[in-house]
Amino acid sequence: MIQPNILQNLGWQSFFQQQVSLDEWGDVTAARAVEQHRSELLVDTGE
Amino acid sequence: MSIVPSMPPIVVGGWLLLIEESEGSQNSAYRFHRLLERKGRFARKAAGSEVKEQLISANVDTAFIVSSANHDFNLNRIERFLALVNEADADPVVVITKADLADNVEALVSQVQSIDPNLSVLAVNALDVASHEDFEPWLVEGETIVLLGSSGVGKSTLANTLLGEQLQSTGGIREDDSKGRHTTTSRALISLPQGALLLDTPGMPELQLSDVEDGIHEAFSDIEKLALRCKFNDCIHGEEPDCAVQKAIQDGELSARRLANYQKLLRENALNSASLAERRAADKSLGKYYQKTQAEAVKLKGR
Ligand SMILES: Nc1nc2c(ncn2[C@@H]2O[C@H](COP(=O)(O)OP(=O)(O)OP(=O)(O)O)[C@@H](O)[C@H]2O)c(=O)[nH]1
Ligand SMILES: [Mg+2]
Ligand SMILES: [Zn+2]
Repeated sequence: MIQPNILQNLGWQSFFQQQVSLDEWGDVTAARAVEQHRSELLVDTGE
Repeated sequence: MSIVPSMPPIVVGGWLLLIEESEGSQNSAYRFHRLLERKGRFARKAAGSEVKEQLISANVDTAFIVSSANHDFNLNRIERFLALVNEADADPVVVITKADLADNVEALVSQVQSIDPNLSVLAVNALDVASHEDFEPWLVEGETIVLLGSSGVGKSTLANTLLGEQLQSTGGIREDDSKGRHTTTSRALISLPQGALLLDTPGMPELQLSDVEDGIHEAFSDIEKLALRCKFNDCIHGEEPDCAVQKAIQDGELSARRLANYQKLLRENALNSASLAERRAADKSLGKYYQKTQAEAVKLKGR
């Protein structure tokens, strides 16, 4: 589930929110890529 | 942690959607669903002779163009970064570091201001915690800021000062040519206490522009405005009669350096963009629609 209030301090904006369809809304969690290593990506969900 | 073999290239700053898998093993709780569209394109031509695009970061609101007040200071390079930042639809702030080591800081600030009076320019000692205050207007919740600049100018030092702790390692510098060794080798988005997100990057010694024509137009809008008054539509501002750009140079309103840099960046961009387009076409015909995955695994940041 997308929780804008939690994502806000990770830089979540309406531009991103608009891209999430109603169908997806309840099933997905948004995460931001915060670090990239050779073959690993560290993401943050704000939780 | 879940291994995802077919993810599109994702750069730091990007937003992605994950699907929580309630069933299954505990250590693969999320699965990659899809990448969200980026806000603005922040890319450069990758280093080396091969024409290849390299994404620097995604979804940046503000870019600190960091230059130090020593021999590294170079208006041509600042203009180059401005073109890149404009293209990405981010707001530029020019940050002159090592103000404590130079006695001509005011002159440097006014040199930057001369290229655009509306440009935000700060001169700071990146090591001094008091510098913090100068950055307050940009340190707001949810604001994503990228640090750009050559190696050794003090990007990581500034990141640490704004963070209030030594998270990013910083390096010494060879004083003879003021070219730093590369200390930062990867990109990380750091949450600052005020709620802004700061992306430290490794120094970029040979930043080549490609596909940033709009960014160049914006960065040099003063010259383009003048050019509208040239006698000839196709004036290249050389020996032509009634050239408004050359007149501005003679009148001291525009520097010959800035015109030369503008023309150089346009040429470089045209050359790189053409080869990039060719390359894309070639890749497409070979069926390589997707680049090699940059990251094969997604790991969730622990809290
Ligand atoms: N006196 C003084 N020294 C500074 C200042 N900013 C940075 N330094 C020093 O300059 C050196 C290089 O700084 P870094 O922060 O590692 O530079 P960087 O831009 O992150 O370099 P890369 O990670 O290689 O791209 C370090 O020794 C810093 O202590 C400043 O404002 N004043
Ligand atoms: Mg660094
Ligand atoms: Zn002209």
